[in-house]
Amino acid sequence: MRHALVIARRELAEKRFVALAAVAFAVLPFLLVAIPGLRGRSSAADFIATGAGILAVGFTVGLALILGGGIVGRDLAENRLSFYFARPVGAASIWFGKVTAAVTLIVAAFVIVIVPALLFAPRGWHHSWGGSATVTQLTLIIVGGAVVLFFIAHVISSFVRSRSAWLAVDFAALAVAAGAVSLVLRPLLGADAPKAAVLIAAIIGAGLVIALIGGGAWQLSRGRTDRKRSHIALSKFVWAAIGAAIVVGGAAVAWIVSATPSGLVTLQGAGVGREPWLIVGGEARGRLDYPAAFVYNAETGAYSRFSPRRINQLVFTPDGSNLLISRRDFTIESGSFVDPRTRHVEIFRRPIDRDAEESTGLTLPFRSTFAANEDGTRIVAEGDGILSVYDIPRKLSLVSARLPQSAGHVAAMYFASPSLVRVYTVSWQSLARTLRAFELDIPARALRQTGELTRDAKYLGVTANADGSRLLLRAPDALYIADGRTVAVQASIPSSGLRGVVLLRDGSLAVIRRNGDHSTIELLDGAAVLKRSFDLPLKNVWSLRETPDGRLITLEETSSQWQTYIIDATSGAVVQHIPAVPVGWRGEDYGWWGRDPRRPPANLPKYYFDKRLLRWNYATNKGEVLLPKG
Amino acid sequence: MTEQVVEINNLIVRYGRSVAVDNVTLNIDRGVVYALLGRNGAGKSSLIRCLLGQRQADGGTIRLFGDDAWKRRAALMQRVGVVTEEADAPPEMSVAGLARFCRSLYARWDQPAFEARMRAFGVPLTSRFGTLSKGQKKQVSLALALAMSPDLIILDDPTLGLDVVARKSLFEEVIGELADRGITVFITTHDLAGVETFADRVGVLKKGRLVLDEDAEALKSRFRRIRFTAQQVALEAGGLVAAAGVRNWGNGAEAIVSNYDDIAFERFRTTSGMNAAEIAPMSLEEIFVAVSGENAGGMQ
Repeated sequence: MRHALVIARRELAEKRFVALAAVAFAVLPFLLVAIPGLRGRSSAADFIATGAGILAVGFTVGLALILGGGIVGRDLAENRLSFYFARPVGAASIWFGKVTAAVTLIVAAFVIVIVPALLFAPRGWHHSWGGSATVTQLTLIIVGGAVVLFFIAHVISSFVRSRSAWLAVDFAALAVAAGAVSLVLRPLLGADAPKAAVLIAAIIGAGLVIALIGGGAWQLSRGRTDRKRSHIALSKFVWAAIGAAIVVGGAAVAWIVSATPSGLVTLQGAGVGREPWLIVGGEARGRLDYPAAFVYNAETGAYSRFSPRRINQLVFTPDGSNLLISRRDFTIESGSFVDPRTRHVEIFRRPIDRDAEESTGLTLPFRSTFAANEDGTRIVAEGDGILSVYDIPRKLSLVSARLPQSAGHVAAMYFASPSLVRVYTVSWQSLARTLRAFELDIPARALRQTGELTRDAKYLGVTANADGSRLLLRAPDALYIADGRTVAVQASIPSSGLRGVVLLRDGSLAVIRRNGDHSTIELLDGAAVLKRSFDLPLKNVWSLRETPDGRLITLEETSSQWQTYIIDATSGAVVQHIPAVPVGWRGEDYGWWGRDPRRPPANLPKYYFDKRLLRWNYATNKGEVLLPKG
Repeated sequence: MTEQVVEINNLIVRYGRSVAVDNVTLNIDRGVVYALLGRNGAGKSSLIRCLLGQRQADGGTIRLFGDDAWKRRAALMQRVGVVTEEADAPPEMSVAGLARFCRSLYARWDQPAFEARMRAFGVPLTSRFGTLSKGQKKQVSLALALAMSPDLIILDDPTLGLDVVARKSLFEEVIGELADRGITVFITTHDLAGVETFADRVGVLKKGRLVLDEDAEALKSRFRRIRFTAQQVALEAGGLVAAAGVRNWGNGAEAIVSNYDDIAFERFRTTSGMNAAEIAPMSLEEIFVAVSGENAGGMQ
């Protein structure tokens, strides 16, 4: 330590001219401001503060580069290091003495250049560079950055001045390190986990700092006065330290992405594909902000990891066997600065029960929508008014067709059969909405309009019965029953108080309305003629679904819980009341169906997501918490 | 038992594929002045860098005062004074500044002795090192090396580029110091006449190999130049060995003998019947030229 200070004092004495140069730079803005016309319209204080700031940064950075380039590299090249090595001082003392002097000079130079301006033009300083807190931060960033540059300049100088063929190794190591850092950080950056990415970057950065600071000491300890050996020693230390940091960072990343469902501490997005397969995701223990996600079997606990990276859309195939995922080619954050029209999504496909996601090779414009056939082997995509059908296994485009410009946006589409796609579009003019139906015949490669319907309505919501033969069109003031192919209206009923509607499998219709302090279920025939109605003492009802055995399910929301009622469709009697099911996403309702308007019959919801994943036991009316564990 | 200050065993120094020092072994006892001779590129500086712990040997060991020169360099340098071939002190430092710097590093620094030497050399303490002449730089370096009261002083071609007066002054200073304190000296030089008067032992490096390592007096006593009137000379008859062959000299021949003694020579004369012969002792420089086998050009 004492010897290091002796070396530092000598180095400072040798470079005391730097302080004189800094004083000259400090005075320069005060001289320049006196030159008529030079400062333009800015005040003298602003000019001095701005000039001093720019000069301080330039001088400090330049000084750091010069000092770093000369600290060892020049001494080695000029055979001057033997002066120190012939003395009874250790290599570490020589290095840290030199570093202490250089860092002192860098800091002192910055302070010397800015202090006069801070003292004599404080208002200008505040105006140009911000308050004292900002100035402190800027000082730390600039001086810190200059010190880092100093160390980097030292490494580069030692490498280059050695004129050794080992430089080729350094270039190769640099390329490998850059690639490795990219590989290590990619899973976190791709998963939009900035905190975790910053932590890993900090680990690697710490390795870099150790490499830069410790490298010089090792270089002098092993290489001493020999240029080439000095280069090789520094090179080995730098790349070993960086490599070790990358390995540690990589191990940390591997640990972060190895989260399991049982490690989830919070539960966020979730959905049901084909029960009991669910999609669950959230924050996992000790994984910072890494969004862990899984395709999870709620019965067996089996899971496969599922990357939440840049997901744009998730679609289960109608048979529930596959998951189609569209992923953006940009993050939301960067996307806010990029025109979405220039961005794309890529479609991936994975079986629900296997971690075997693979790219379909299909890239679509960002604003595209798509739907899949029964097993996901075909996709129909719409973007910029063009419909395209792709054969996924064969990676073939089967047909493309442009929708008429008047068609508006695609409200719904689905494969009516493997060779026929049905598309519904909605356009608007003033308050009128026009629904158009199209059929895309894949073998004939023909798009034809099959129907059109115009109504005065602020919106037109489209759903269909299970086979798509009949449509339910929800407008603000009416509910229309229409033909699935021609959209010809078959019947209509007023939609006042409407809280749920379902096309029953026998062709009839059931709706539930709220009427003040009670609700009414109406059963209508295929022509929407009221057959029966039943009053229920339920206030805040939502949803009406048909079970596979022909009964009706409705839900009432009371305070923070769902009351579930199973109703006999013939008598209107409440067959079963299941109280106290938590409010949340009901698994059954929250399947991602994409643009497919068809709704299959529904069982009683078995899984609920209410910050937790619950499996509801209707016999006991209690939920078993599946996730998070503990 | 005398203490061995320098122990070099099977030292090898390589630069890439070329071998600068090839399996050198030598030992120097305390108080000995050892002159290591060799042409440029013979490996002297490489050996000295290893001796000073500035370069790790590629093979073999070097010990100073019983300690490994590479591993214990910093501690050993408290006892080793160095005058390098090229003055390496920072040029912007004053002589007094250099002394201040060294004083804070050496436990046995003798400031009055340093100042006295500077006065004797006529070098002002306020002078910047970079502004001094080559001779003055060497004098300052020597004064610094001696002021730390070394037990071993290593001089790497200390007279290189010095004029005759400066050379004489430097050697006298070394000799004076030796007389005063009996320190061990390891010197490499091209100035063979300068070291001839005080070198106790001499080594010759040739292409990295130590081809000679011997007491100086013994060395000089066994080398003789013999000139014969006849051109055909059979030295083997007397058991004499020609160090650099027998060459024509005027009408006769000249031989440099590396194992001369009077009895052997008488035996040769009796056996060969060659009475007309002129025997002359040889200087260290002549011996070096003969040993290093470099008749053309001699030492640079």
